[in-house]
Amino acid sequence: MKVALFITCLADHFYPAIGEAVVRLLRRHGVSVEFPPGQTCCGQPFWNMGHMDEARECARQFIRTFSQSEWIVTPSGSCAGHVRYFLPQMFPAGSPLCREASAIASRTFEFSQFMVNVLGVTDVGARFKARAVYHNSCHMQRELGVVEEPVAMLRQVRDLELVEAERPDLCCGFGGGFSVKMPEVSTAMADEKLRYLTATGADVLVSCDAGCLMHLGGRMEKLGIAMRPMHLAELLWEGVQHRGC
Amino acid sequence: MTPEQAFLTRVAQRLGRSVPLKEPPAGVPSDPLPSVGPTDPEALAGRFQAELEKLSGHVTRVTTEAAVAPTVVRILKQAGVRGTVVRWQDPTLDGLGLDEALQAAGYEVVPFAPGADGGSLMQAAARAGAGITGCDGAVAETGTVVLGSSCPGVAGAPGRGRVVSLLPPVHVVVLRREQIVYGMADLLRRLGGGPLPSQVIFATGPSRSSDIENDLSIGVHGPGVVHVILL
Amino acid sequence: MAVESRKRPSLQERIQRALDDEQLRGALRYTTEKLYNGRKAAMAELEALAAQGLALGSLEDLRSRARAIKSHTLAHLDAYLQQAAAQIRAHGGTVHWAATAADATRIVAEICERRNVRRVVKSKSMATEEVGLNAALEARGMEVVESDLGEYIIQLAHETPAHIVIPAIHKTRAQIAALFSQVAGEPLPTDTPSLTAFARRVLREKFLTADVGITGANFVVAASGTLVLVTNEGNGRLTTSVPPVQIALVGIEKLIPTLEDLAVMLALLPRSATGQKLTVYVNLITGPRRAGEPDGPEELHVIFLDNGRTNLLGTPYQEALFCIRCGACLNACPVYRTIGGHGYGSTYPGPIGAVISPLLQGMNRWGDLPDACSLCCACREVCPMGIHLPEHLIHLRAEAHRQRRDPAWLRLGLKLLGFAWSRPGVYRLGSRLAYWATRPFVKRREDRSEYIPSLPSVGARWTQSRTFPVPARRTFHERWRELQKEGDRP
Repeated sequence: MKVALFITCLADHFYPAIGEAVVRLLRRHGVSVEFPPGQTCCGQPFWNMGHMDEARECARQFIRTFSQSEWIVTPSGSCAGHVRYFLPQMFPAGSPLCREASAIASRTFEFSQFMVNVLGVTDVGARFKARAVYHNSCHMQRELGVVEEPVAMLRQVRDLELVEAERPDLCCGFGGGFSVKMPEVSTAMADEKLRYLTATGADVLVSCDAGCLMHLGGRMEKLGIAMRPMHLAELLWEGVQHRGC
Repeated sequence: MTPEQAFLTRVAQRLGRSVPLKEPPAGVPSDPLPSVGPTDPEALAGRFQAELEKLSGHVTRVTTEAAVAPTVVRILKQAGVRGTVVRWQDPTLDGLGLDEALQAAGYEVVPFAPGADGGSLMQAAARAGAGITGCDGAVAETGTVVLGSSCPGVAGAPGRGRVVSLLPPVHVVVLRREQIVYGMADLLRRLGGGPLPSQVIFATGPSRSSDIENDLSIGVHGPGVVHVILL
Repeated sequence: MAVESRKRPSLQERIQRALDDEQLRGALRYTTEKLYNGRKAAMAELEALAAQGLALGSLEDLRSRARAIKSHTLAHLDAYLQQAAAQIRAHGGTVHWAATAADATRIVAEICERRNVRRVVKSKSMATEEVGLNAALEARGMEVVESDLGEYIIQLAHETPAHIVIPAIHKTRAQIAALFSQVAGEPLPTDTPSLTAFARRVLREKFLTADVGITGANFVVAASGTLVLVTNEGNGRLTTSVPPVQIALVGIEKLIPTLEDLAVMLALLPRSATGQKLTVYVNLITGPRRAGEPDGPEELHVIFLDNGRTNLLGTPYQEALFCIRCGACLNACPVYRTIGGHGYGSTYPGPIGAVISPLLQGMNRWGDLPDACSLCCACREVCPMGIHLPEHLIHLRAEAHRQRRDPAWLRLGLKLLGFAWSRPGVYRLGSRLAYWATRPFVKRREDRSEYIPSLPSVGARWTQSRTFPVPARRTFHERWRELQKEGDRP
């Protein structure tokens, strides 16, 4: 089985270790990973900010890059959600690009969604000693409809105590461009979310979206909260190597 | 062009028509609603009672018409009602001997007779301790009673008084078991079959508000005590 | 459009005011949470009932029925308006047509002046808020009394509603007691029963002496010309039963074809709004009092209101007219929960308000509201009408961008980024640039790892409250060759 990795702009630039973890975990389960080099961005940031032309330009590049890929896996619920939900909507209904976008959308998976639903793997053989709380990203739970899969994987991690926070569905306030266009509201939302997350006493905050982690992690650092933000794949890969704290 | 024509033309033009469409198309926008729920009268009565009681409404079951009047008196006494009681003058309450029983218990009874002076009736309702009505149906699914300003389905039926079930703090309703249907759809289908009175109220339990810190309070503007006598 | 025409604080200022008010934010959180959970429980119960064949359908069934009903009605709105008008007239009512807010207030004022009205009593109506009716009538010397408990509180405080269902959502009981005590001329206790009893007493007197009752309508059944009012307190019943004249101001999107369609709407509205299976009262009004009826208004006037609604017809935004004003999107919205209705500043706040305010009243006034959204999509999830609120907000942002309303730094920044990111070579060059451009701001933590505590210029919009991650020295693109080799190893 051959999978094309869509790394996403955030992981590419800021968190390449997430990509490395995804690649190694996929390989561990017999999947051959390729990395189409022309990839940039799916266009979501532009689309969400109302820059439709720029969004379509990026989307075209995305479609060009992945048109031949049988499976597309990405370590971001938000980007997978955008590709699945919005990519076909970005082009006129019935147009060749729209058809191609729909086809690509149906072949695109968020990492845990792919592991659990396609490979049938929940246990990657990880051990990680910590108390962890899982944060749903909005697009992952509402556009992609993926909620249970990452939790199922975390439940299989040995020595990991998984706790649930109040209002696990509530937005953390990142919202892409929203976080810089309306930083005050965005931060107030983070603070409420962090109250619920820290109340669990967790020492690791796990999510499947680097955007939420960057936002909540950056806020925690300003506030001096010691909870460690980790992408699911990072935690699993560290756990596989038994390097978990 | 009259304001009406101008208004409708604007709507039509936005919908891509140069002149307004006269008649709505035949046919319904969605499939007919399914008939759901039980039809057994006792099951319906049980469900109605359970739903209304959840909303802190009261239900007293009686088996004979003769038992209605003494039950009304007992309910009013228990609720601490004194002085004036208003009621519909309507076939749904005829022959129950209410006036005799209430007067014997010391109440002044003011029936809302068709054609009587509206002003003095309004004053009576405003000072009344309770209002007694029949009803035009009930919905088991929600514990709802239906109160028409006249009998629904009957063109030119005499009026009953909207304020009887509204101004007094206690509302007593006489409901017959066979009047209960399961769902709102059944009821609306029935109502839609004939002429509607000028006002129909679906009343579901006592008046309530949650406008102060989302804290539930009962009896804001309408009656705070609702008592159904189920015959 | 008469309401907020004076110079008003900017969105930024309104938001800041809300964020600084801890009491407000606590009240918002508490009440929206309660309503959100109430709705959730009611919908769970609905699903269970539907599974046993004891409800009209599941939420999804009802939602698709309701959408079909509204979609059909709007597509033939000219015909349904005429049908409704003919029925209202046939039952003795009078029909008026208000293309604008000014038309609406003028029509109401004329009816009132013809009857020498001195005291007007109102039940809750967002349409009258939208057109600024109270101010218009007061300017003509009439006393206007809001009778919904929440609206009464807001009126005493000289404010506008902060929520479309719970107008005084932001007021604490202490504040309410203070307002009522002023009316009473003596200090009142702060418990709910005492406050409610006081309002009942004061307002009952107003009802019995009012010359006209003004309402909105939740639905209008075209086939019978029936106005439908969905209420809990009973003030809507009083307004339509006691005063000699009733005036109803109704947005044209409130029409539904038949009484049977009402069953679908009634299954959705109370559950979505307050978590109730049904509100305490549903009031169906078909014409004024008839011959032989002892009470009820002698005159019934129905005013159909456009005021920008037709702007949405025939556009991709038409769906926003499906809205039944349940407020579920407000209660689910994390931004509404944080800034409240006055943060938005529009008559209709929250996600639906951010969509319809710019469409009804223009981008000039409300073009920035669609920005007040993190696109979390919680609104779309709870909307009983399945309105695609996030999509509409995105398209309104695009509209604002086309009109060059977005700030220059953002417009140019995104343009540049868009150019770079649609060209793989430039994208990778950009990665290098980002690395070097941020080096001057990089600091080391105790564990020697790197971070950016603060950035200048627009970067400060992030770093004023959050640290920023350091662009990787080697991006994933640059690491791939080694990873590839690693994979090739047996």
